[in-house]
Amino acid sequence: MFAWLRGMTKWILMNRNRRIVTIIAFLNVLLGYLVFALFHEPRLIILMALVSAYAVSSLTMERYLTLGASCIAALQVLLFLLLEPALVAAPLTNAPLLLLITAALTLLMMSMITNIQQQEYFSTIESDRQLLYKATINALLSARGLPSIYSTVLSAVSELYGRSSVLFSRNAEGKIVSACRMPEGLIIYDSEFAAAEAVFASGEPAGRFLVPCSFSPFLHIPLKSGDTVLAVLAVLFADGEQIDQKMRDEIAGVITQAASAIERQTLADEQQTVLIETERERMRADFLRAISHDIRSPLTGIMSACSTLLQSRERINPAVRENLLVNIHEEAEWLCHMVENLLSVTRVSGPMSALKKTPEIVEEVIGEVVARCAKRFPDVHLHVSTPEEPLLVQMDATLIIQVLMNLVENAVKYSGGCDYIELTVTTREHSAVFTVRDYGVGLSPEMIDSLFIPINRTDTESSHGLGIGLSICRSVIRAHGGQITGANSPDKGAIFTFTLPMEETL
Amino acid sequence: MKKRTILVVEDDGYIADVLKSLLEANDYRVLSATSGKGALQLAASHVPDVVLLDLGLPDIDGTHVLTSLREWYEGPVIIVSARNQEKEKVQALDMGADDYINKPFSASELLARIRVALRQADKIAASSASPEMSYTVGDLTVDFQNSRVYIAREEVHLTRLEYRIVELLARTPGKVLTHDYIISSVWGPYAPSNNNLILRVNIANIRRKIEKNHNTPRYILAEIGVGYRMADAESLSGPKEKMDS
Repeated sequence: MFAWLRGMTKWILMNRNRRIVTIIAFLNVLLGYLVFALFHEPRLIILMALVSAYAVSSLTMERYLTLGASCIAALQVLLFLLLEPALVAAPLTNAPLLLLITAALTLLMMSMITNIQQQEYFSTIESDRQLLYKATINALLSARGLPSIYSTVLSAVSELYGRSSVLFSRNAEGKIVSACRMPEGLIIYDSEFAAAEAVFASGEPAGRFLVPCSFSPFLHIPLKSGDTVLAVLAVLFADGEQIDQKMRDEIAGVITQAASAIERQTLADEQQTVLIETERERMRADFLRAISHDIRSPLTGIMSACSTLLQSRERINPAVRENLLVNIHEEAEWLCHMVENLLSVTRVSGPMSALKKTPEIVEEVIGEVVARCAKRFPDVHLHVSTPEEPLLVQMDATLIIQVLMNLVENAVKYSGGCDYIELTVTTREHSAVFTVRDYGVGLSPEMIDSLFIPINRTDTESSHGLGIGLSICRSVIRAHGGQITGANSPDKGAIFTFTLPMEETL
Repeated sequence: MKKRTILVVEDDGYIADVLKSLLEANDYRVLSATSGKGALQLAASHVPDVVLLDLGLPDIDGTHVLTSLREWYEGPVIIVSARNQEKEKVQALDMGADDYINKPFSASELLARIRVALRQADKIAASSASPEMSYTVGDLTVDFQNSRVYIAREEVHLTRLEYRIVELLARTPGKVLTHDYIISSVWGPYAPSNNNLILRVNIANIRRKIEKNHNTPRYILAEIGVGYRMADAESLSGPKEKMDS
């Protein structure tokens, strides 16, 4: 009896609301009794009941105004019923008993109210959690990208259950790695990786609360698609914490959703890779086809000339023989040039890019181009103009010479017999501007659109590739951080321009 | 006149044949080696006048052959290498090669380089007699004695550094000198850190002073990525004459 009383007292005194309600209830009862003793007017008691009910509500359970008020009113009505002589044959006049009954009933009311209050509080939390849970599921449905999926799962665990967690997955080499952890700085020991490995192998949960790996503070749960384990979610439980069925079920729900999201994403990623690979293969095939065509043409020329010389040795007069030899030389030279173009490609692109820029004096580079042109096109007059002051530009000289040679070559071959070509270098803002200009037939509109794309030629003309050379030029210039354009000049002929970024001046 | 001997070190059979034909047609006696070891043996037993060394040999690295050769051989060594390998060329030149020629080579260029190399060697052999007093090519005259440079008899005012560069190049006309060689010869051990840049700028200034058109130099020829070369009489009367500005 006393223990119960003691327990009750403690329980009452713990909560502010309960304290206030108890005090007011007792005061109320006391006053009621006094009033009754003084005025013998039961109805006054009811009035007081209402007043005190309002006082209590406004002080404590604002939301439970009606509830509190009606409880206390009911209480007072009961008292009234017990005291009003008109209603009861033997009204209670035993004051202590009355007090006791009132107190007991008040306490009953209060515990009811507090219970309801608590329940509503928890149901709010519960509905918030439900919302969060739903939101997580939705997020997983629409998540894109594995990192985003992983972090959604982990933040859900963190927000729903307030626990830290880790997501383990297999990397490309098949090793177990922690793909995501929440919080970021969570330390994971090697034993956890071993536990995750075990789960990957068995497909069953392990860790805390379970066998095997029950030493682990984490509960490892596999995310499965069919029988394949896609990932392992490890949730950290502190010592003494337990997991209830509700939590297990919810986690299971999140996990199922996450597993299908991961599966979906992996499939999408694979598809993407396949697409990219296919595209790359197609481009490579196009490129190789174009190159083969370009290599075959001069080789054909060389083979024919050689076989003619060998076959009809004595019957060919010296002038013709000379001509054939010159042709062979020219075709071979073209092949060399083509090979160098191809080597430039390897220098510019790919993981083993060997593009190295050094500061070069522009006129020296131009001088080299002039010298080579003189050898290859002795009949072409190359007019050169560079700034008065020595111009220093960072570049891979070999590649830029290659670009200039390509441009000059195109000018010679496609201008339709023009033998005067201008090569100019100027500066504009922080760039060196190189132009190669001819006075020939110019570029057709179709050509201008596809200038820098390696064209797949269908015609059988023996003239050599316009496409490959220019597309390589573009790669080189781009790798230098510059730009290249081709257009028709206002007078006749075509003009190609490229820029190279310049550092500060000498 | 006794025929000069050239040791051709080339592992590619076709190219070796072509070289042999070319050189023999031009009055040289040709020794052929297809490996580094063979080359060293032949060199030791015949002591050729010139060695033509391909850098891409099968058994030992061409540069190793060069170093081994240079332990005792004092004649000119010309290296043959692919076009885009400037670093290799510069390394070989700094390790004792005298000149280089690119593959694929033009016959006339190869013969010219060999001639220059032989002339240099002869000069060195005879230099104990009297050092050169001046060098003239085209309109350019470099007076070593008085440290003056003339273009078409008019004096060109060069700074001390500029003159030293011109003198260095003029003493070995036709032969390529690497950037590093020029820098260490002209600036010595006190070369500043951005010495390469300073050299290039100096050369650019020299060019503006002695060449008619700095885009088409006749006298001081730039070998991109490698170094510089002073023209000799032969290289002047080439197709370059046709190019003007």
